[in-house]
Amino acid sequence: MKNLLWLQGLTCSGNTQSFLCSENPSVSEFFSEIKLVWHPEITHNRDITEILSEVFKGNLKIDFLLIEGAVTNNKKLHRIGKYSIRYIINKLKNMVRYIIAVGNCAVHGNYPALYNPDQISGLQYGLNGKKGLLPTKFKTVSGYSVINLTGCPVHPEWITKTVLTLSYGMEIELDSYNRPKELYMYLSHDGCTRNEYFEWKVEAEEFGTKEGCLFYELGCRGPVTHAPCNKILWNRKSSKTRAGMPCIGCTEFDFPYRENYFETKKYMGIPQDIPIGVTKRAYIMITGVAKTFKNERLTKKLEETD
Amino acid sequence: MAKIERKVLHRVEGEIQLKLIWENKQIKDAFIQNLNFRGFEFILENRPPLDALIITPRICGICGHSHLIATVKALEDIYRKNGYRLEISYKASLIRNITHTVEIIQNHIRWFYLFVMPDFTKLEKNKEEMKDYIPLNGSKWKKALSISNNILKIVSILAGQWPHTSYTVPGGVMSDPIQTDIAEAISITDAVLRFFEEEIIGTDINNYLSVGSFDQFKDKIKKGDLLTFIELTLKNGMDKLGKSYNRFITVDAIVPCVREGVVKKRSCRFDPSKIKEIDSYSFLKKDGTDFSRKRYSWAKAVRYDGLPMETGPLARKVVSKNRLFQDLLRRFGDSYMVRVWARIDEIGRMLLTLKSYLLSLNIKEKAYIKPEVKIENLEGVGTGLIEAARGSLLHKIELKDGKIKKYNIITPTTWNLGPRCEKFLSPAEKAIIGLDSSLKAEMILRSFDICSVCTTH
Amino acid sequence: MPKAKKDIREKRKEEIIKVACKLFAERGYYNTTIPDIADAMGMSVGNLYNYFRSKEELAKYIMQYSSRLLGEEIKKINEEDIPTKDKVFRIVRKFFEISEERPELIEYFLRVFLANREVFQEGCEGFLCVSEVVTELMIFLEEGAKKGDLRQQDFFPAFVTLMGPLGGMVFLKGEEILPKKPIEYSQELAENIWRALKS
Repeated sequence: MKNLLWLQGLTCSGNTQSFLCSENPSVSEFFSEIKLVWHPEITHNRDITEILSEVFKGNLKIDFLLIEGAVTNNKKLHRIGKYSIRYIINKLKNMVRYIIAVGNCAVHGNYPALYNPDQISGLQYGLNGKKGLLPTKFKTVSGYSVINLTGCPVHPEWITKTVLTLSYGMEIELDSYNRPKELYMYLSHDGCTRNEYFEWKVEAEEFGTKEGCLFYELGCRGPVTHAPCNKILWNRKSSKTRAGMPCIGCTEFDFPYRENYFETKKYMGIPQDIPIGVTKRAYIMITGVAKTFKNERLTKKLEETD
Repeated sequence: MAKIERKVLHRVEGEIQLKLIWENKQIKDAFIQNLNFRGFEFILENRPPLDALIITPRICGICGHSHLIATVKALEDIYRKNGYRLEISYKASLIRNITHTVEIIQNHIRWFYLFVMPDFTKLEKNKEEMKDYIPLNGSKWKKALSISNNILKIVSILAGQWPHTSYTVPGGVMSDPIQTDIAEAISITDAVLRFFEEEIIGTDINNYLSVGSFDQFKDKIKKGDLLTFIELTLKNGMDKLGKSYNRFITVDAIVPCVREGVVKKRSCRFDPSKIKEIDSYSFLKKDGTDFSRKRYSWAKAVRYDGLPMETGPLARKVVSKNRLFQDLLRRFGDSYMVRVWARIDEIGRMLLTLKSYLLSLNIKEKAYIKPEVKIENLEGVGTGLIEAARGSLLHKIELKDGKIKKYNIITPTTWNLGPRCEKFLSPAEKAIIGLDSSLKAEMILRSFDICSVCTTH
Repeated sequence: MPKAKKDIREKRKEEIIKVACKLFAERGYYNTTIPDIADAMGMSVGNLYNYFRSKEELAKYIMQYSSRLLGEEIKKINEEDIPTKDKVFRIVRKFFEISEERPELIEYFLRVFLANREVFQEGCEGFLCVSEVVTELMIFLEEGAKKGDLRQQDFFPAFVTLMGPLGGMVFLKGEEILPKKPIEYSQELAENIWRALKS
């Protein structure tokens, strides 16, 4: 059985908490297929410093190294026992089969890196073009670079699907940010229950209604964000946009330093960021057409439709 | 001869390092070190005000929702201080309370089965008895994790997802649930309540709530994980260990009453102006950082009128003059057993509260009423106070020129597990002085339900 | 259809448009019939129907054709790497150039399209038949605002501020009040529009 070691850098533990919510497989089911070496919130009877000792000596081989949290060399900001996480990763990087960066902080530093972008970063990327801990061309013995799962937090299935697919000996394709293509080729826009309102340009002007598209006024990043949130539902129930909260684009690299998350930035009434895949000209034309032909059904509250 | 032992503690939502000074086989002194720092208070400066709703939940993965509610309250306080009467519909208030309560319940369940009970599997000699509590494979561990996931679906229905939603803004909430959503939420609540009755208290909840003393508990409750916990505690002498200052704080009141440093018997209102953060032993000072030898944690010490206070479910029980806990405190003091029991007890009561919120919800009311002015146009200081799972949470935000000028956060774990000040150890440090076992020290620290990531933010 | 044949067809359509616009201007939209137009073209009615199946279709086509024409010109200006102010001047000038070269199209827009909205109800709703022009103007305004050259505002007031003066000038010409040709007012008008829109 392949095994898995989970370490935390500078983190809020949100990805761990999200992971604990995993269903099909549940955390226990998952760890019946993959052996858990250590996890800071699950393991009760082993000390991490002992385990790291064994791994450094070469007595314990690790297949999957999962890192949650930003990394730094500065031991004043973060330590695991007496080590800095940078030290640990540098020692382990050529000893483990796969390294998976779980969550934005491990991928590029995220909010923690804003405090000190030169000293705090992700594994293979830093904030806003800065360098990560490992060189851009770095690959583990498996031939994969660090596999990035962006998100703040990530969905538990993004972790379990990635690990299990690899553990069954199947290849996963990565996109240009080294994220599993099959997860991040969807936009969080795909599958939102408000898609019809988007199509017909019926905007939600205020919060608090299940009708209306959140893209035009309220800052929703759905059409420009790579994430399967409306395909693989959160808590197997819903998603932010379904519940009326705009997507904040947390899987994209500019997430931590964007501002005014609940406002759609517009110039002369036209959104600054238009949906991926369409040119501005085409978008404006289609918007014009859609606004011209009203969809009567979408002008009413759903309860009042036929 | 004094011996120094250093331990790294996990299963504490983050990481804590513990420095214990041993003498004559007893803990003579204890230093709780929070060594990981992310600087959220700095990250928030110069940001637009509403961005705080996205950022503060990301201080913590398990109690992020409490930060969200504290932030929105602090922002709404700014409206009030500027003379605007913000209208929040009853429906929006209820929805906020509902999601907040769900997070508390889920926190307590995860804490008890993932953090507390596994320690007993190490303490207990009879391993066979404890097999159900073993992480990953134990049937009770699995069931508890699963039920904690179920209740979170209520947050998903009303707020999109857990963890990390920011579905509430000044003026109300963003969601617009339909009647069948509420029915589903009630059904989920009932299922978790059944879990509480079947697994934890081993009886009907009304029977449990009628218990007013330790003796009545022994009479009425014959099975369940709470009983198992109490028996294990008594067996290992932990009913008397882990006592602290017997002083409690909640955002509503403090007990016993402290006025001008003099302690009086009864309770009195909590006055936020009496809180002081003391950084003598912290790496973080008012004007930068300092790593000189005596400083040992990124957290600061917090004191109320100069005194250390315990916050959390036990504090809430004391402040609300709960009959059972008045008896337990009389018999056992603010020990490990009583503190943990207070948390477990809260799961049941909160489930009932949750159900009553859901039943009171009128979906026809507006979810969001837009404030008259944009918050960017207001200035001043706003405070948001809330009782989170682990205790009193305080957010203080200062706005100027349309941006956040300053943001200060005091978390419950800072009260309980901050470093010492010149006069006093923190409540948790005090609780482990005199112990003869470092495993028991760990367990007692966990009874405070540590959120290390919150404490240092 | 091979390219050569297509070009010929397009040329024929343009000729039909010219003639139709002239007749609409002289006699009014409703008083002009398809046989009138065919007659003026020296075509058979059946032949004309090969190009346009009805007067309504022709009417809409003229609008779309004009929109494409002006839209293409504005697109060229949009794509040039010149300051926003220069673009304003160029757009204004181009509009008047077209109104000089193809006066029948501008006339058509003012006298037929705007005056007989009922003709264009189906198939030309809203901005549908003028979408090319409107799109290019939207892009011009958006990019100007993005660069910080134009004042941020809602699209509609900005659009009217830009187009209103142009339409107004052509209208005055039609009333035969203007002492000079519209294009001679181009600089002045463009300056007014620029000052009104700039940040």
